[in-house]
Amino acid sequence: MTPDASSYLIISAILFTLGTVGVLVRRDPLIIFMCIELMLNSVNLTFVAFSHYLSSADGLIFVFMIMTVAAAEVVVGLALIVSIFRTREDIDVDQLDEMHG
Amino acid sequence: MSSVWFILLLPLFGFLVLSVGSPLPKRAVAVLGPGVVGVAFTAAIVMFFWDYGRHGVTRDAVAYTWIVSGHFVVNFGALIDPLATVMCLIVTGVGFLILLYSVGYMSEDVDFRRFFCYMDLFVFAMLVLVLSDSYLFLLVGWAGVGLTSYLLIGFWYERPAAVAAARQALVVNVIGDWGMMVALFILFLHFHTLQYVPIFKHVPAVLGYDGSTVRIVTLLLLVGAVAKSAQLPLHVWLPNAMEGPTPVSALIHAATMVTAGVYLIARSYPLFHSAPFTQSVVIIIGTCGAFFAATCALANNDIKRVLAYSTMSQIAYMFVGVGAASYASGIFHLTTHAYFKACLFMGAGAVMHALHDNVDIRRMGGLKATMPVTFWCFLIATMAISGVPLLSGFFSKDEIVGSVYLQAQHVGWLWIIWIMLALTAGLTALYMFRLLFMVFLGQERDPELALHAHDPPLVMRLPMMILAVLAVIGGYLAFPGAPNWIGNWLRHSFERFSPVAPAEPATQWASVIIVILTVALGIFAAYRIYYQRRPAPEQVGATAPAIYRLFLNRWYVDGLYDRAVVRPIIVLGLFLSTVVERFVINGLVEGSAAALRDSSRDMRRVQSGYVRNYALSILLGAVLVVGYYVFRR
Repeated sequence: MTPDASSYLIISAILFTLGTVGVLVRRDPLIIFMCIELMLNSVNLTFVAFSHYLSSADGLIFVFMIMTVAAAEVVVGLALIVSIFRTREDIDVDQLDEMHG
Repeated sequence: MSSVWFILLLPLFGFLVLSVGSPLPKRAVAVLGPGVVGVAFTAAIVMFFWDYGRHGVTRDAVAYTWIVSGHFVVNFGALIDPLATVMCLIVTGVGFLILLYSVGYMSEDVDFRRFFCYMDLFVFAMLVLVLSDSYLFLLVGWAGVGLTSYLLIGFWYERPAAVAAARQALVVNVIGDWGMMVALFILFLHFHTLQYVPIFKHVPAVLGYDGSTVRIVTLLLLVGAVAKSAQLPLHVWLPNAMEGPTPVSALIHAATMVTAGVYLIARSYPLFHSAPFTQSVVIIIGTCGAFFAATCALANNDIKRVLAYSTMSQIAYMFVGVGAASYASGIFHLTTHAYFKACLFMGAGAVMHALHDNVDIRRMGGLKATMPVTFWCFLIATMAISGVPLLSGFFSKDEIVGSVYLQAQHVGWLWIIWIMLALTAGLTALYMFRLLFMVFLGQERDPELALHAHDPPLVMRLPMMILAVLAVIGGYLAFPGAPNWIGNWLRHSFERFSPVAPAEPATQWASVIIVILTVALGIFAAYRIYYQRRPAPEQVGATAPAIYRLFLNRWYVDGLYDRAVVRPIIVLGLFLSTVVERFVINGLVEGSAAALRDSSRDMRRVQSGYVRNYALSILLGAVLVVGYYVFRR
């Protein structure tokens, strides 16, 4: 039995919600990053599903774009995290509130 | 052809050199300042004979085209006709004599160069005014003479009175400039040009006869003329302008600038011809002004202010002349007036020089013995302005009064005008001879003051004597009975655009005789009161104290303006600066700053610095956007 489109969308929505909640509630920047990856990949899943069911390659192109952006973002983000850790010895995001008004 | 550009550019050259030439020695300034005007006068004479040889043809000389925009073209050019030529000769000729006189008069002044700098600039502006071939450049000259008048009245800027007088003159003149500008806007709307010739050619066709537009335009032009020529009700600045150096009073506030209003009306005669209503207004303003100023001069005790009021009175005569469409007589009186009034001011300047700048005639007297040349020049000019027969003022004034007399045969109310003009002629004789008797004859009232009184040096005596001679012979340009020479010459200007310009009227002997009688009466009264002192002047004043006070206080016009205009404006200014400035303007500025500061203090809390807050707000935003599209239907 092949699953229909709604199963993919439901899984993708669950993954996206998990990722969002993770970003909002966790304090460790590494975990936040992983959650962001989770959100991005849930979107990827949606794209692939639609692409398959609509017999269109457009969605696949977007998936590659998103993977590229995600990779670049991780590179920059990890570099930031490393440099923050070197200066502060502490990477709890709730402590990083110097920019508050 | 090119002489006209010489005339224009020489004073400008003088002004430019003097304005930057601070290392120039005093002697060079004394040569250059009057010299450029003298050469310009020579050029004007050349132009005059050149044109007169060709029967006064009028010519338009375009120097260059300034602006071209579609059909709209602005040329800078000169209109050379008899009217412009006469004005040009007066401005440069009398101007040269007065500048020469100034070399002596201002010799002790530290700002010698600045004075001649301004004077040359004035002559240039005045020449632009009279030579321009369009209303646009007339307005340029108009504003230029207003500016130089301001600069020269306030020449002694350490004196508060001089600065106040300069400011007053400028403000009143700006009222006139406003009238001029609005008139020019309306003219441009109808004619699409400001050149004289195309406008004057089409006045009846475009504006009609006695239409409302031509009435409004001429009345607005009249506002300009009244302000510039110090006529009722904008006359207050002229007596106060006497705070300036005396040569300035002679050149600007007697001989040339204040007559610009007369020139404007004469130049715009095709417009005024189409607006008989405005012509009547001009006549009435002129007559009332002549009488008013004469009464003010009667009671005034300041030698220069008496002359200022007499200037106003004589210009009022010119207004009546041009208002009564007797343009040549108005310009003729303008010419003779320039001679004798400049001479009178020079005499007054010489007296002030001799008496340590004292201007109160009650402290003068008996100066005839110590200042004979000044006395004789002053006497001749006084007789000329009073209208003593066979002197210049007699001929020119009689032409104006005579033309009113002639027209009164057909228009009833002009009889009142004629009677007032004849009466004012008598008053003129009375106040001028009062001045003469009090200053030069009788007892010395203040011997200490007059201890070192003496005639001025040659450089001041000579212009005075030349002008006195002109005051005698100037009238023979239009000898009654003989061919009216100046009238025939000026007719070329005044017949060009409208055939209705009347031929200069024959001498009205009835009018002449009555005017001679009133003048004789005026001189006799002055002789009895101020020379024989039977009755003494004080007794005369005491017989009608109310009238005397009225005249002494200049009919309370200055006080009225002070209360009705100046003080309300000062109060308004105080109100604006204390209440509006402090509470409204400052309130707006400081209030908006405070509102921003307070709101930003509250808004700042949103910036918590926690990444998750920002993420949450992004999420909420996304939910809102998606929700909007989902639930839109």
